[in-house]
Amino acid sequence: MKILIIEDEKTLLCSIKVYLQEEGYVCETAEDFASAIDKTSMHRYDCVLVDITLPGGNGLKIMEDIKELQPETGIIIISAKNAVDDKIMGLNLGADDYLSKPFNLSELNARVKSIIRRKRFGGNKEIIFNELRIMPDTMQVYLNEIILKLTKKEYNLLLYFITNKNKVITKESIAEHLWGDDAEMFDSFDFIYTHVKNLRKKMTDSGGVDYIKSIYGVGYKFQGS
Amino acid sequence: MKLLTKTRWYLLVVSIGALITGGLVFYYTMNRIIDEEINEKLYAEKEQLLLQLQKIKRSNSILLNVGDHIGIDTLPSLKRVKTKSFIRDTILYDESEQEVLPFHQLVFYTNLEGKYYRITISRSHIESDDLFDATVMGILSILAGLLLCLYLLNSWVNRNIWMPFYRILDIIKSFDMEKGNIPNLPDTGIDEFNDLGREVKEMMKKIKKDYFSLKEFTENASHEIQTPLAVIKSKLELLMQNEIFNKEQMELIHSSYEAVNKLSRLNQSLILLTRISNRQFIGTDTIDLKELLEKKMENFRELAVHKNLNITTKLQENTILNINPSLAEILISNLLSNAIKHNIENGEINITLTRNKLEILNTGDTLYSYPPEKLFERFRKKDGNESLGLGLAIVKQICDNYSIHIDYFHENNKHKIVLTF
Repeated sequence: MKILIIEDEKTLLCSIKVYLQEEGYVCETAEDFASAIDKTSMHRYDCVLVDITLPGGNGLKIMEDIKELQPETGIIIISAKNAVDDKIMGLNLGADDYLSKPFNLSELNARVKSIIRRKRFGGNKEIIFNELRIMPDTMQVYLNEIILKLTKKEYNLLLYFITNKNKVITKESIAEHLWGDDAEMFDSFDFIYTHVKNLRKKMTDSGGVDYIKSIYGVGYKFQGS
Repeated sequence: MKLLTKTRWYLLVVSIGALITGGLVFYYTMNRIIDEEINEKLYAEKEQLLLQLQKIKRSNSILLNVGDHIGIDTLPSLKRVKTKSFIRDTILYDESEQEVLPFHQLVFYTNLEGKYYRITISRSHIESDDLFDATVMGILSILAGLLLCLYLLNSWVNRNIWMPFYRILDIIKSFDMEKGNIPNLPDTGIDEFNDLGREVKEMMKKIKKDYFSLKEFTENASHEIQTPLAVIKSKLELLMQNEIFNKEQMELIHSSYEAVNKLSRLNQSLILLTRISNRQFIGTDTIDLKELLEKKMENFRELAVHKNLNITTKLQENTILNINPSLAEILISNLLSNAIKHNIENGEINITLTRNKLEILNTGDTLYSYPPEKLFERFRKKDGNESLGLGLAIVKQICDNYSIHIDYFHENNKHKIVLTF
């Protein structure tokens, strides 16, 4: 799976590349408008991350080009602005998603995977991990082929864990993933702990393994073998 | 009161005052003059009559210039003789007019060949009265007519003179900061209005410049600060993936990560506050507060349950506010999150919404060592609390923008915030 990262801030570009490469993506990068145009005209990508605040104000132009040349490519706008109107404008212009800086790499990863799933497989691709089978289009989870009754938040939590398996996920990024803008209110440790505890219990009650490891003081890690 | 109305009003009051005063003065003055006229005439006649009467002695016929009634009474004795003549008002029957009319009478006494006579000369008012009435009416009509013309002229002149002023006023009212081209104000021919126009234009230029300057600053601040923060956050996240760290080291990394998050939120909140006060949130919508409150409460439901808070509401239907939708969301969100964040375990929240008031009451220990009016300032927070202290400052700024009155009360160990709109 090929991803193009268009970001002018070198160090940030590097971080994103490292993280996504570990997830198994082939990552190409572009630091300015010219090389971005170059790359998009020569290769096809599954997903493109565009920093809309690219100097020269050309972030939007790149997006338009991509939509023209490769309409099935997923586009995620990364922006330092975080204004509500910018977000709406970005999505109206055809971006598939919008993420504002600073973001958690685990969140970026989840968004990329979600978009590729949607675009590539029409949302049908199921996710299998040991005894767990997740059907994203119906939001159903089967453990040993028995349906797990999860709440919406628990489902999203499980999906987030599996998407970022073997990565340390901070409680803050969990709060942000589940509650978005209000995350600040929900990122107390005991609150997140309650949700994780419920998920763990449901999994183990149905005969499953508890893959969720607590990283003390930081968050969790979904440990897959 | 409108400008024209005020000037008209003053003119009207002064005119009527002048008319009444002038009219009265004129009336009484004329009355006196005519009175004296008549009296003089009477005395003149007396002299004439006396003269004629002396002549009677020498001839048998007398030529009297008769115009008025003359009465001659012989006096039987000296007792009733008075030396002084006097004038009095009386009513007599006038044969020519065939009705009873008021008369002015001059009564005097004279001695003719040893005999004493009382002579009365009576003169009717009627001619002079008619003349008097006509004169007064005439003068008053002219005066009234003059004042009316003056009034109309004044209105017309004023309206024309003030036209440039109203034009400038329209320009100011229709000035749009975002799009606003500053229009050219034509020469009005009146120095003061030209000056006014020029100053207004300068002021608009400056306001526009300041507005865009601040807008640009917030956009730059956002970008320039968020990007390095994004770098730090991403590096820390990658660092945390390392298995080699022990508990303490992981905590060090995580503390830095938390600080970055806080900085980022702080930056965003300050920028938001600046944008709100710079009035960059244009566009309003009719927002149903009941719906918005319910939606936001649903967002926070899990947290409320987690803290075991008892939330009661009394929300009136159809309570509408004309406000920018994003600001409405931020306003309600901040108020609710404040009520939840500073609440105690098993505490309660009470929300009341009426047509022009929103009250949020919540339990919580005494929050602030600051006096209530300072609650809405920036960075006011419970000592040692993790919050930014900007939530209520943002709420206050939004309220100020829309002339919503906000108050804080501390009663019975509960905190109450009241919005009046």
